[in-house]
Amino acid sequence: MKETTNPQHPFHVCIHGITYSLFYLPLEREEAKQIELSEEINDSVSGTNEGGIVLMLWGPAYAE
Amino acid sequence: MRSILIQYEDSFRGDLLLVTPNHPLPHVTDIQGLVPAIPGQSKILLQAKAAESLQQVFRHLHCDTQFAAVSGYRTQDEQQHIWEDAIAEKGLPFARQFVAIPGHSEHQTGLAIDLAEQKSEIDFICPDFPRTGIFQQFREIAPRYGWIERYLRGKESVTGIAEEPWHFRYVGVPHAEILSKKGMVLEEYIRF
Repeated sequence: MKETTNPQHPFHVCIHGITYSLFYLPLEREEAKQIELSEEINDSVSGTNEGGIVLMLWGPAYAE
Repeated sequence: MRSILIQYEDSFRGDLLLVTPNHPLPHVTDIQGLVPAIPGQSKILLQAKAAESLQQVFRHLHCDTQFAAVSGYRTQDEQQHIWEDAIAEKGLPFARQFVAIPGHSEHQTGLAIDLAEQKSEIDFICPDFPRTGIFQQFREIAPRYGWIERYLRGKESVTGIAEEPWHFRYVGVPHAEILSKKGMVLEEYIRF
């Protein structure tokens, strides 16, 4: 994910009929990023301990 | 529209956190809501979401009496004792192969558990978790609920850890299923 994705090119995967979009977001020390999302999109953030986070988005806007 | 704020500290917390020989447990990591991994086995703790999903796997299999929780959340002191005991009892090469250096164990996240076949005698360091029967079914079903077998044979050069058929890690849904379907370990999933 770290090597192949960015906010413009997420990794898409469909699991049990739900399409998820995932991408890696690098973060520098003291850095903060604000991301605007549609109310219809769910999000999940997890750190990696490798200098960034994995952001996952899913919801009606990503439905197949 | 709504906005989410992602801060640098967020890179040190979450279900996908790498804790390895090269990735020490971050000091900002939150360990929240520790609960018994298996009801009735109150000394083995996990983060609540991980424990609940583990119960879902057992409910799916209609069985938990054949499983024993051997080790879950560990404090730094507990990991230190395990490390020192392993060196004293079996030597440094064994300890390096099967016990994480204190501060570098996934068990310190509350998201990892060692499971064993329920027996009268269970090896604490290398418990028996067969690749047959209900135990293999556990491995196959677990990703659906967010769990992966963490240290796989053939991936030692990636994880830096020998195969551990008994060690499972909660990474959440759907990450565990993606990892499983792609045949990746957590390091590969984050870096691909």
